[in-house]
Amino acid sequence: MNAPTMIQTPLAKAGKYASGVLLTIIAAGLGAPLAAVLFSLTEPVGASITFVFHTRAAEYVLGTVMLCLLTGGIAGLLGISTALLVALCEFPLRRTLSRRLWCCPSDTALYRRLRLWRSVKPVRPNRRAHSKRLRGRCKCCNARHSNCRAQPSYYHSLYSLMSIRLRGHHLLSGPSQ
Amino acid sequence: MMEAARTLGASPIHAVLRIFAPSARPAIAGGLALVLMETAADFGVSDYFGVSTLSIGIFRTWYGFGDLTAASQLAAMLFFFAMILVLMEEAGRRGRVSEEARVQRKFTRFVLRDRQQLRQRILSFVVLTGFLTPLFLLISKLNVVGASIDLRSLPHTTGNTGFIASTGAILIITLAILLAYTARATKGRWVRFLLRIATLGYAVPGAVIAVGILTLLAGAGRMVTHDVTVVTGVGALLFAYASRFTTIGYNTTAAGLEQIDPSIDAAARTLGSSTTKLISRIHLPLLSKALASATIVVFVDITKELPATLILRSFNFETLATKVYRLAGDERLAEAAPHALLLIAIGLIPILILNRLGDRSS
Repeated sequence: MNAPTMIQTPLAKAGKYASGVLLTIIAAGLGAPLAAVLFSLTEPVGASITFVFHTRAAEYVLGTVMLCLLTGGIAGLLGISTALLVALCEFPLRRTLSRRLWCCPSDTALYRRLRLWRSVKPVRPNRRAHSKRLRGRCKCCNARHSNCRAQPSYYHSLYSLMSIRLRGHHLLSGPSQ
Repeated sequence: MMEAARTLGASPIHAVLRIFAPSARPAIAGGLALVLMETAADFGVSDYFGVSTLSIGIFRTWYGFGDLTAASQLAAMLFFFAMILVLMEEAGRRGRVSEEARVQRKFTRFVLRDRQQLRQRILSFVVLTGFLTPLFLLISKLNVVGASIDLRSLPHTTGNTGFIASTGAILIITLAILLAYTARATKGRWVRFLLRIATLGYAVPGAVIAVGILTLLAGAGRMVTHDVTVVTGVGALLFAYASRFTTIGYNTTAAGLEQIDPSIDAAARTLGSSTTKLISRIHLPLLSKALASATIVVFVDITKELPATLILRSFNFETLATKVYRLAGDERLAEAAPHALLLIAIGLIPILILNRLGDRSS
Protein backbone atom coordinates (compact mmCIF):
# COMPACT_ATOMS: atom_id res chain seq x y z
CA MET A 1 0.00 0.00 0.00
CA ASN A 2 1.34 3.42 -0.86
CA ALA A 3 1.98 5.97 1.86
CA PRO A 4 -0.83 8.48 2.36
CA THR A 5 -0.19 11.90 0.88
CA MET A 6 -0.77 15.28 2.50
CA ILE A 7 -3.76 17.27 1.25
CA GLN A 8 -2.61 20.43 -0.56
CA THR A 9 -4.81 23.17 0.83
CA PRO A 10 -4.99 26.49 -1.09
CA LEU A 11 -3.16 28.13 1.81
CA ALA A 12 -0.30 25.61 1.56
CA LYS A 13 -0.11 26.15 -2.19
CA ALA A 14 0.00 29.92 -1.67
CA GLY A 15 2.73 29.42 0.94
CA LYS A 16 4.78 27.39 -1.51
CA TYR A 17 4.33 30.04 -4.16
CA ALA A 18 5.40 32.76 -1.73
CA SER A 19 8.41 30.67 -0.71
CA GLY A 20 9.37 30.28 -4.36
CA VAL A 21 9.12 34.01 -4.96
CA LEU A 22 11.15 34.76 -1.84
CA LEU A 23 13.80 32.25 -2.88
CA THR A 24 13.99 33.78 -6.36
CA ILE A 25 14.41 37.28 -4.92
CA ILE A 26 17.15 36.20 -2.50
CA ALA A 27 18.97 34.16 -5.15
CA ALA A 28 18.76 37.03 -7.64
CA GLY A 29 20.09 39.46 -5.04
CA LEU A 30 22.96 37.26 -3.94
CA GLY A 31 23.83 36.17 -7.46
CA ALA A 32 23.69 39.69 -8.94
CA PRO A 33 27.39 40.51 -8.38
CA LEU A 34 28.43 37.32 -10.15
CA ALA A 35 26.02 38.02 -12.99
CA ALA A 36 27.47 41.54 -13.30
CA VAL A 37 30.98 40.12 -13.55
CA LEU A 38 29.95 37.60 -16.20
CA PHE A 39 27.99 40.25 -18.08
CA SER A 40 31.17 42.33 -18.40
CA LEU A 41 32.49 39.67 -20.80
CA THR A 42 29.92 40.79 -23.35
CA GLU A 43 31.23 44.35 -23.30
CA PRO A 44 33.79 45.41 -25.93
CA VAL A 45 37.45 44.81 -25.16
CA GLY A 46 38.97 48.09 -23.99
CA ALA A 47 42.49 49.47 -24.13
CA SER A 48 43.23 48.61 -20.49
CA ILE A 49 42.39 44.94 -20.72
CA THR A 50 44.27 44.67 -24.04
CA PHE A 51 47.31 46.17 -22.34
CA VAL A 52 46.96 43.82 -19.39
CA PHE A 53 46.65 40.82 -21.70
CA HIS A 54 49.75 41.83 -23.63
CA THR A 55 51.87 42.53 -20.59
CA ARG A 56 50.80 40.85 -17.33
CA ALA A 57 47.90 38.44 -17.87
CA ALA A 58 50.10 35.37 -18.42
CA GLU A 59 52.03 36.20 -15.26
CA TYR A 60 48.80 36.54 -13.26
CA VAL A 61 47.43 33.21 -14.50
CA LEU A 62 50.74 31.41 -14.04
CA GLY A 63 51.17 32.93 -10.57
CA THR A 64 47.70 31.81 -9.51
CA VAL A 65 48.12 28.29 -10.90
CA MET A 66 51.60 27.80 -9.43
CA LEU A 67 50.57 29.17 -6.06
CA CYS A 68 47.53 26.87 -5.98
CA LEU A 69 49.54 23.81 -7.05
CA LEU A 70 52.33 24.38 -4.54
CA THR A 71 50.05 25.32 -1.66
CA GLY A 72 47.67 22.47 -2.47
CA GLY A 73 50.56 20.03 -2.69
CA ILE A 74 52.17 21.04 0.58
CA ALA A 75 48.87 21.42 2.43
CA GLY A 76 47.65 18.12 1.04
CA LEU A 77 50.81 16.25 1.97
CA LEU A 78 51.01 17.66 5.48
CA GLY A 79 47.28 17.84 6.04
CA ILE A 80 46.36 14.35 4.89
CA SER A 81 49.24 12.67 6.71
CA THR A 82 48.56 14.60 9.92
CA ALA A 83 44.83 13.95 9.68
CA LEU A 84 45.51 10.24 9.15
CA LEU A 85 47.83 10.23 12.13
CA VAL A 86 45.33 12.00 14.37
CA ALA A 87 42.41 9.85 13.20
CA LEU A 88 44.07 6.44 13.33
CA CYS A 89 46.76 6.56 15.99
CA GLU A 90 47.02 7.24 19.68
CA PHE A 91 50.04 9.21 20.91
CA PRO A 92 50.90 11.96 23.37
CA LEU A 93 49.63 15.41 22.30
CA ARG A 94 47.10 13.87 19.90
CA ARG A 95 44.27 16.03 21.19
CA THR A 96 46.39 19.18 21.04
CA LEU A 97 47.36 18.42 17.48
CA SER A 98 43.79 17.70 16.47
CA ARG A 99 42.66 20.96 18.05
CA ARG A 100 45.43 22.75 16.22
CA LEU A 101 44.17 21.26 12.97
CA TRP A 102 40.71 22.61 13.60
CA CYS A 103 41.26 25.85 15.36
CA CYS A 104 42.55 28.23 12.73
CA PRO A 105 40.49 28.33 9.56
CA SER A 106 36.82 28.75 10.28
CA ASP A 107 36.00 27.12 6.95
CA THR A 108 37.40 23.89 8.28
CA ALA A 109 35.42 24.36 11.44
CA LEU A 110 32.37 24.80 9.27
CA TYR A 111 32.99 21.45 7.62
CA ARG A 112 33.39 19.87 11.01
CA ARG A 113 30.18 21.44 12.25
CA LEU A 114 28.33 20.13 9.25
CA ARG A 115 29.58 16.64 9.95
CA LEU A 116 28.73 17.04 13.60
CA TRP A 117 25.18 18.14 12.98
CA ARG A 118 24.59 15.41 10.45
CA SER A 119 26.02 12.70 12.65
CA VAL A 120 23.61 13.57 15.45
CA LYS A 121 20.55 11.34 15.34
CA PRO A 122 17.44 13.13 14.07
CA VAL A 123 15.14 14.22 16.85
CA ARG A 124 12.28 11.76 16.80
CA PRO A 125 9.53 11.08 19.29
CA ASN A 126 10.54 8.78 22.11
CA ARG A 127 8.17 5.84 21.85
CA ARG A 128 9.20 4.36 25.18
CA ALA A 129 8.57 7.58 27.06
CA HIS A 130 5.27 7.87 25.30
CA SER A 131 4.14 4.40 26.29
CA LYS A 132 5.11 5.21 29.88
CA ARG A 133 3.07 8.34 29.66
CA LEU A 134 0.08 6.37 28.43
CA ARG A 135 0.40 4.17 31.50
CA GLY A 136 0.52 7.29 33.63
CA ARG A 137 4.18 6.82 34.65
CA CYS A 138 5.90 9.52 32.60
CA LYS A 139 8.65 11.28 34.57
CA CYS A 140 10.27 13.08 31.71
CA CYS A 141 9.25 16.52 32.84
CA ASN A 142 11.30 16.10 36.01
CA ALA A 143 14.02 13.69 34.91
CA ARG A 144 15.42 14.76 31.58
CA HIS A 145 16.16 12.05 29.07
CA SER A 146 18.03 12.26 25.81
CA ASN A 147 15.29 12.87 23.30
CA CYS A 148 13.48 15.61 25.20
CA ARG A 149 15.26 18.59 23.69
CA ALA A 150 12.19 20.71 23.24
CA GLN A 151 10.04 21.63 26.18
CA PRO A 152 9.19 18.18 27.52
CA SER A 153 5.51 18.41 28.39
CA TYR A 154 4.66 20.16 25.15
CA TYR A 155 6.73 17.63 23.28
CA HIS A 156 4.87 14.66 24.68
CA SER A 157 1.48 16.17 24.15
CA LEU A 158 2.57 16.56 20.55
CA TYR A 159 3.44 12.92 20.44
CA SER A 160 0.06 11.96 21.81
CA LEU A 161 -1.48 13.82 18.92
CA MET A 162 0.86 12.04 16.55
CA SER A 163 -0.39 8.71 17.76
CA ILE A 164 -3.89 9.88 16.95
CA ARG A 165 -2.62 10.72 13.53
CA LEU A 166 -1.15 7.26 13.16
CA ARG A 167 -4.41 5.61 14.14
CA GLY A 168 -6.64 7.78 12.00
CA HIS A 169 -4.54 9.57 9.46
CA HIS A 170 -7.60 10.96 7.75
CA LEU A 171 -7.01 14.04 9.93
CA LEU A 172 -3.92 14.97 7.97
CA SER A 173 -3.76 12.74 4.96
CA GLY A 174 -5.61 12.20 1.77
CA PRO A 175 -6.85 8.83 0.52
CA SER A 176 -4.31 6.14 -0.35
CA GLN A 177 -3.44 5.94 -3.99
CA MET B 1 36.29 -1.62 8.18
CA MET B 2 39.86 -1.07 9.28
CA GLU B 3 39.52 -3.75 11.93
CA ALA B 4 37.97 -6.14 9.42
CA ALA B 5 40.82 -5.48 6.99
CA ARG B 6 43.39 -6.13 9.70
CA THR B 7 41.74 -9.40 10.75
CA LEU B 8 41.81 -10.46 7.08
CA GLY B 9 45.58 -10.03 7.13
CA ALA B 10 46.10 -6.58 5.62
CA SER B 11 49.11 -4.64 6.89
CA PRO B 12 48.40 -1.18 8.39
CA ILE B 13 49.78 0.59 5.29
CA HIS B 14 47.83 -1.70 2.97
CA ALA B 15 44.64 -1.14 4.99
CA VAL B 16 45.13 2.62 4.88
CA LEU B 17 45.80 2.67 1.14
CA ARG B 18 43.06 0.21 0.12
CA ILE B 19 40.33 0.98 2.68
CA PHE B 20 40.84 4.30 4.42
CA ALA B 21 42.07 6.40 1.49
CA PRO B 22 39.18 5.55 -0.89
CA SER B 23 36.66 6.07 1.94
CA ALA B 24 38.23 9.40 2.81
CA ARG B 25 38.36 10.54 -0.83
CA PRO B 26 35.38 12.92 -0.56
CA ALA B 27 36.83 14.53 2.56
CA ILE B 28 40.27 14.82 0.95
CA ALA B 29 38.75 16.29 -2.22
CA GLY B 30 36.69 18.74 -0.15
CA GLY B 31 39.67 19.75 1.96
CA LEU B 32 41.97 20.24 -1.02
CA ALA B 33 39.31 22.20 -2.88
CA LEU B 34 38.96 24.47 0.15
CA VAL B 35 42.71 25.02 0.26
CA LEU B 36 42.82 25.82 -3.45
CA MET B 37 39.82 28.15 -3.28
CA GLU B 38 41.32 30.04 -0.35
CA THR B 39 44.67 30.25 -2.14
CA ALA B 40 43.11 31.52 -5.36
CA ALA B 41 41.05 34.05 -3.41
CA ASP B 42 43.94 35.23 -1.25
CA PHE B 43 45.04 38.77 -1.66
CA GLY B 44 46.96 39.92 1.43
CA VAL B 45 49.71 37.31 1.52
CA SER B 46 50.28 37.31 -2.25
CA ASP B 47 50.52 41.08 -2.30
CA TYR B 48 52.87 41.21 0.68
CA PHE B 49 55.24 38.65 -0.84
CA GLY B 50 54.96 40.11 -4.33
CA VAL B 51 53.40 37.09 -6.05
CA SER B 52 51.38 38.21 -9.06
CA THR B 53 48.02 36.44 -9.00
CA LEU B 54 44.69 37.18 -10.64
CA SER B 55 43.39 38.78 -7.41
CA ILE B 56 46.34 41.17 -7.46
CA GLY B 57 45.68 41.82 -11.16
CA ILE B 58 42.09 42.84 -10.41
CA PHE B 59 43.29 45.32 -7.79
CA ARG B 60 46.00 46.76 -10.02
CA THR B 61 43.63 47.12 -12.94
CA TRP B 62 40.99 48.85 -10.84
CA TYR B 63 43.28 51.13 -8.85
CA GLY B 64 45.91 51.62 -11.58
CA PHE B 65 43.79 52.08 -14.70
CA GLY B 66 40.51 52.98 -13.00
CA ASP B 67 38.85 50.76 -15.59
CA LEU B 68 35.98 48.84 -14.03
CA THR B 69 35.17 46.85 -17.17
CA ALA B 70 38.74 45.59 -17.46
CA ALA B 71 38.77 44.69 -13.75
CA SER B 72 35.45 42.84 -14.23
CA GLN B 73 36.82 40.93 -17.19
CA LEU B 74 39.83 39.83 -15.16
CA ALA B 75 37.46 38.96 -12.31
CA ALA B 76 35.50 36.78 -14.73
CA MET B 77 38.71 34.82 -15.42
CA LEU B 78 39.19 34.28 -11.70
CA PHE B 79 35.53 33.28 -11.42
CA PHE B 80 36.01 30.58 -14.08
CA PHE B 81 39.11 29.38 -12.23
CA ALA B 82 37.05 29.09 -9.02
CA MET B 83 34.31 27.22 -10.88
CA ILE B 84 36.85 24.69 -12.15
CA LEU B 85 37.82 24.08 -8.52
CA VAL B 86 34.16 23.65 -7.54
CA LEU B 87 33.64 21.11 -10.33
CA MET B 88 36.80 19.27 -9.28
CA GLU B 89 35.49 19.12 -5.72
CA GLU B 90 32.14 17.76 -6.87
CA ALA B 91 33.83 15.21 -9.10
CA GLY B 92 35.88 14.08 -6.11
CA ARG B 93 32.72 13.50 -4.09
CA ARG B 94 30.73 11.80 -6.83
CA GLY B 95 29.47 8.31 -6.17
CA ARG B 96 30.17 8.34 -2.45
CA VAL B 97 27.63 7.47 0.23
CA SER B 98 26.67 10.52 2.26
CA GLU B 99 28.04 10.64 5.74
CA GLU B 100 24.69 11.08 7.41
CA ALA B 101 23.63 7.61 6.27
CA ARG B 102 26.42 5.92 8.15
CA VAL B 103 26.50 4.92 11.76
CA GLN B 104 29.63 6.27 13.39
CA ARG B 105 31.22 3.82 15.75
CA LYS B 106 33.97 4.38 18.27
CA PHE B 107 37.28 3.49 16.64
CA THR B 108 40.15 1.90 18.52
CA ARG B 109 43.28 3.79 17.57
CA PHE B 110 46.67 2.17 17.00
CA VAL B 111 49.17 2.96 19.72
CA LEU B 112 52.42 4.19 18.19
CA ARG B 113 55.73 2.59 19.20
CA ASP B 114 58.91 4.59 19.91
CA ARG B 115 60.27 4.58 16.35
CA GLN B 116 56.90 5.46 14.88
CA GLN B 117 56.50 8.26 17.41
CA LEU B 118 59.50 10.00 15.87
CA ARG B 119 57.58 10.48 12.61
CA GLN B 120 54.60 11.69 14.58
CA ARG B 121 56.77 14.22 16.42
CA ILE B 122 58.19 15.55 13.16
CA LEU B 123 54.70 16.05 11.75
CA SER B 124 53.43 17.60 14.97
CA PHE B 125 56.43 19.92 15.01
CA VAL B 126 55.80 21.08 11.44
CA VAL B 127 52.10 21.69 12.01
CA LEU B 128 52.45 23.35 15.40
CA THR B 129 55.29 25.61 14.29
CA GLY B 130 53.16 26.80 11.37
CA PHE B 131 51.03 28.54 13.94
CA LEU B 132 53.30 29.07 16.91
CA THR B 133 56.28 30.64 15.12
CA PRO B 134 54.32 33.56 13.61
CA LEU B 135 52.49 33.99 16.91
CA PHE B 136 55.71 34.24 18.93
CA LEU B 137 57.21 36.55 16.32
CA LEU B 138 54.23 38.88 16.65
CA ILE B 139 54.46 38.81 20.44
CA SER B 140 58.21 39.50 20.27
CA LYS B 141 57.55 42.53 18.05
CA LEU B 142 55.16 43.73 20.69
CA ASN B 143 57.74 43.34 23.46
CA VAL B 144 60.68 44.96 21.69
CA VAL B 145 58.98 48.19 20.81
CA GLY B 146 56.90 48.33 23.96
CA ALA B 147 55.51 51.73 24.76
CA SER B 148 56.36 53.34 21.42
CA ILE B 149 53.51 51.53 19.63
CA ASP B 150 50.68 53.84 18.74
CA LEU B 151 47.58 52.03 19.95
CA ARG B 152 45.17 54.94 19.68
CA SER B 153 43.53 53.58 16.56
CA LEU B 154 43.16 50.07 18.00
CA PRO B 155 39.82 50.55 19.85
CA HIS B 156 38.32 52.38 16.88
CA THR B 157 39.44 49.70 14.42
CA THR B 158 38.24 46.93 16.73
CA GLY B 159 34.90 48.70 17.09
CA ASN B 160 34.55 48.96 13.31
CA THR B 161 35.41 45.27 12.94
CA GLY B 162 32.97 44.25 15.65
CA PHE B 163 30.22 46.41 14.18
CA ILE B 164 30.59 45.24 10.59
CA ALA B 165 31.11 41.58 11.55
CA SER B 166 28.14 41.42 13.92
CA THR B 167 25.82 43.32 11.55
CA GLY B 168 26.93 41.11 8.68
CA ALA B 169 26.48 37.95 10.76
CA ILE B 170 22.92 38.94 11.78
CA LEU B 171 22.02 39.76 8.17
CA ILE B 172 23.50 36.54 6.83
CA ILE B 173 21.87 34.33 9.46
CA THR B 174 18.51 35.97 8.73
CA LEU B 175 18.96 35.25 5.02
CA ALA B 176 20.13 31.72 5.81
CA ILE B 177 17.05 31.03 7.94
CA LEU B 178 14.78 32.32 5.16
CA LEU B 179 16.59 30.16 2.60
CA ALA B 180 16.56 27.08 4.81
CA TYR B 181 12.84 27.36 5.53
CA THR B 182 12.10 28.00 1.86
CA ALA B 183 14.10 24.93 0.89
CA ARG B 184 12.19 22.92 3.50
CA ALA B 185 8.82 24.13 2.23
CA THR B 186 9.44 23.73 -1.49
CA LYS B 187 11.26 21.01 -3.37
CA GLY B 188 12.16 20.54 -6.99
CA ARG B 189 14.86 21.05 -9.59
CA TRP B 190 14.17 24.78 -9.92
CA VAL B 191 14.46 25.28 -6.16
CA ARG B 192 17.76 23.37 -6.11
CA PHE B 193 19.03 25.57 -8.95
CA LEU B 194 18.07 28.79 -7.14
CA LEU B 195 19.61 27.56 -3.91
CA ARG B 196 22.78 26.72 -5.81
CA ILE B 197 22.95 30.27 -7.15
CA ALA B 198 22.25 31.79 -3.74
CA THR B 199 24.99 29.71 -2.13
CA LEU B 200 27.59 29.90 -4.87
CA GLY B 201 29.33 32.91 -3.35
CA TYR B 202 31.56 31.03 -0.96
CA ALA B 203 33.57 29.50 -3.78
CA VAL B 204 34.03 32.86 -5.44
CA PRO B 205 36.95 35.09 -4.37
CA GLY B 206 36.07 38.25 -2.48
CA ALA B 207 37.73 40.42 -5.14
CA VAL B 208 35.36 39.06 -7.81
CA ILE B 209 32.29 39.77 -5.71
CA ALA B 210 33.57 43.25 -4.83
CA VAL B 211 34.14 44.10 -8.48
CA GLY B 212 30.69 42.73 -9.32
CA ILE B 213 29.12 44.98 -6.70
CA LEU B 214 31.12 47.95 -7.98
CA THR B 215 29.78 47.24 -11.48
CA LEU B 216 26.23 47.09 -10.14
CA LEU B 217 26.72 50.30 -8.17
CA ALA B 218 28.24 52.02 -11.19
CA GLY B 219 25.25 50.93 -13.28
CA ALA B 220 22.86 52.27 -10.65
CA GLY B 221 24.86 55.51 -10.42
CA ARG B 222 24.76 55.87 -14.20
CA MET B 223 21.00 55.51 -14.15
CA VAL B 224 20.54 58.11 -11.40
CA THR B 225 23.14 60.75 -12.25
CA HIS B 226 23.86 59.89 -15.93
CA ASP B 227 27.52 59.77 -14.98
CA VAL B 228 29.91 57.14 -13.72
CA THR B 229 29.42 57.50 -9.98
CA VAL B 230 30.26 54.74 -7.57
CA VAL B 231 29.13 55.05 -3.98
CA THR B 232 30.64 52.51 -1.62
CA GLY B 233 30.34 52.10 2.12
CA VAL B 234 28.92 49.91 4.82
CA GLY B 235 25.88 48.92 2.73
CA ALA B 236 28.08 47.73 -0.13
CA LEU B 237 30.28 45.84 2.32
CA LEU B 238 27.28 44.08 3.85
CA PHE B 239 26.05 43.18 0.37
CA ALA B 240 29.43 41.66 -0.46
CA TYR B 241 29.56 39.70 2.80
CA ALA B 242 26.02 38.43 2.30
CA SER B 243 26.81 37.36 -1.24
CA ARG B 244 29.95 35.56 -0.12
CA PHE B 245 29.13 34.06 3.27
CA THR B 246 25.43 33.15 3.07
CA THR B 247 26.61 29.68 2.05
CA ILE B 248 28.10 29.13 5.49
CA GLY B 249 25.00 30.27 7.32
CA TYR B 250 22.68 28.34 5.02
CA ASN B 251 24.60 25.05 5.18
CA THR B 252 24.76 25.06 8.95
CA THR B 253 21.14 26.16 9.42
CA ALA B 254 19.81 23.71 6.84
CA ALA B 255 21.80 20.89 8.43
CA GLY B 256 20.27 21.78 11.82
CA LEU B 257 16.80 22.00 10.31
CA GLU B 258 17.20 18.58 8.69
CA GLN B 259 17.39 17.06 12.15
CA ILE B 260 13.85 18.18 12.96
CA ASP B 261 11.42 15.54 11.79
CA PRO B 262 8.62 17.01 9.63
CA SER B 263 6.12 14.89 11.59
CA ILE B 264 6.82 17.14 14.59
CA ASP B 265 5.63 20.11 12.53
CA ALA B 266 2.54 18.16 11.48
CA ALA B 267 1.77 17.23 15.08
CA ALA B 268 2.15 20.83 16.20
CA ARG B 269 -0.23 21.89 13.50
CA THR B 270 -2.83 19.40 14.64
CA LEU B 271 -2.50 20.87 18.11
CA GLY B 272 -3.47 24.17 16.58
CA SER B 273 -0.15 25.94 16.89
CA SER B 274 0.48 28.83 14.52
CA THR B 275 3.60 29.16 12.38
CA THR B 276 5.07 31.69 14.80
CA LYS B 277 4.45 29.41 17.76
CA LEU B 278 5.85 26.40 15.89
CA ILE B 279 9.04 28.27 15.11
CA SER B 280 9.45 29.91 18.51
CA ARG B 281 8.55 26.94 20.72
CA ILE B 282 9.85 23.99 18.72
CA HIS B 283 12.22 24.95 15.94
CA LEU B 284 14.22 27.68 17.66
CA PRO B 285 15.15 25.62 20.77
CA LEU B 286 16.21 22.76 18.53
CA LEU B 287 18.08 25.02 16.12
CA SER B 288 19.77 27.20 18.71
CA LYS B 289 23.13 25.40 18.61
CA ALA B 290 23.24 25.30 14.82
CA LEU B 291 22.40 29.00 14.65
CA ALA B 292 24.98 29.86 17.30
CA SER B 293 27.72 28.00 15.46
CA ALA B 294 26.72 29.51 12.12
CA THR B 295 26.81 33.00 13.63
CA ILE B 296 30.25 32.40 15.12
CA VAL B 297 31.71 31.04 11.90
CA VAL B 298 30.26 33.89 9.81
CA PHE B 299 31.47 36.46 12.36
CA VAL B 300 35.01 35.07 12.21
CA ASP B 301 35.02 34.93 8.43
CA ILE B 302 33.86 38.53 8.08
CA THR B 303 36.47 39.62 10.59
CA LYS B 304 39.21 38.05 8.46
CA GLU B 305 37.87 39.13 5.06
CA LEU B 306 40.28 41.44 3.23
CA PRO B 307 39.89 41.91 -0.56
CA ALA B 308 36.20 42.86 -0.66
CA THR B 309 36.63 45.09 2.40
CA LEU B 310 39.59 46.86 0.81
CA ILE B 311 37.71 47.57 -2.41
CA LEU B 312 34.31 48.47 -0.99
CA ARG B 313 35.04 50.25 2.31
CA SER B 314 34.49 53.95 2.58
CA PHE B 315 37.36 56.31 3.33
CA ASN B 316 38.78 56.04 6.85
CA PHE B 317 36.77 52.91 7.57
CA GLU B 318 39.45 50.54 8.81
CA THR B 319 38.88 47.03 10.06
CA LEU B 320 41.55 44.97 11.80
CA ALA B 321 42.29 43.08 8.57
CA THR B 322 42.70 46.22 6.44
CA LYS B 323 44.78 47.89 9.14
CA VAL B 324 47.16 44.93 9.40
CA TYR B 325 47.41 44.80 5.60
CA ARG B 326 48.21 48.51 5.35
CA LEU B 327 50.71 48.57 8.22
CA ALA B 328 52.43 45.37 7.07
CA GLY B 329 52.58 46.78 3.52
CA ASP B 330 54.49 49.78 4.93
CA GLU B 331 56.76 47.36 6.85
CA ARG B 332 55.47 48.81 10.13
CA LEU B 333 55.35 45.31 11.55
CA ALA B 334 55.57 46.36 15.19
CA GLU B 335 52.50 48.55 14.81
CA ALA B 336 50.71 45.81 12.91
CA ALA B 337 51.46 43.25 15.65
CA PRO B 338 48.76 44.23 18.20
CA HIS B 339 46.12 44.40 15.48
CA ALA B 340 47.20 41.04 14.12
CA LEU B 341 47.21 39.47 17.59
CA LEU B 342 43.74 40.80 18.26
CA LEU B 343 42.60 39.41 14.92
CA ILE B 344 44.02 36.01 15.85
CA ALA B 345 42.27 36.15 19.22
CA ILE B 346 38.95 37.12 17.65
CA GLY B 347 39.32 34.28 15.18
CA LEU B 348 40.58 31.73 17.65
CA ILE B 349 38.40 32.14 20.72
CA PRO B 350 35.04 31.50 18.99
CA ILE B 351 36.49 28.47 17.22
CA LEU B 352 37.74 27.07 20.53
CA ILE B 353 34.25 27.60 21.93
CA LEU B 354 32.85 25.78 18.89
CA ASN B 355 35.27 22.92 19.47
CA ARG B 356 34.21 22.71 23.11
CA LEU B 357 30.56 22.69 22.06
CA GLY B 358 31.34 19.96 19.55
CA ASP B 359 33.14 17.85 22.16
CA ARG B 360 30.17 18.13 24.54
CA SER B 361 27.66 17.22 21.85
CA SER B 362 29.62 14.19 20.69
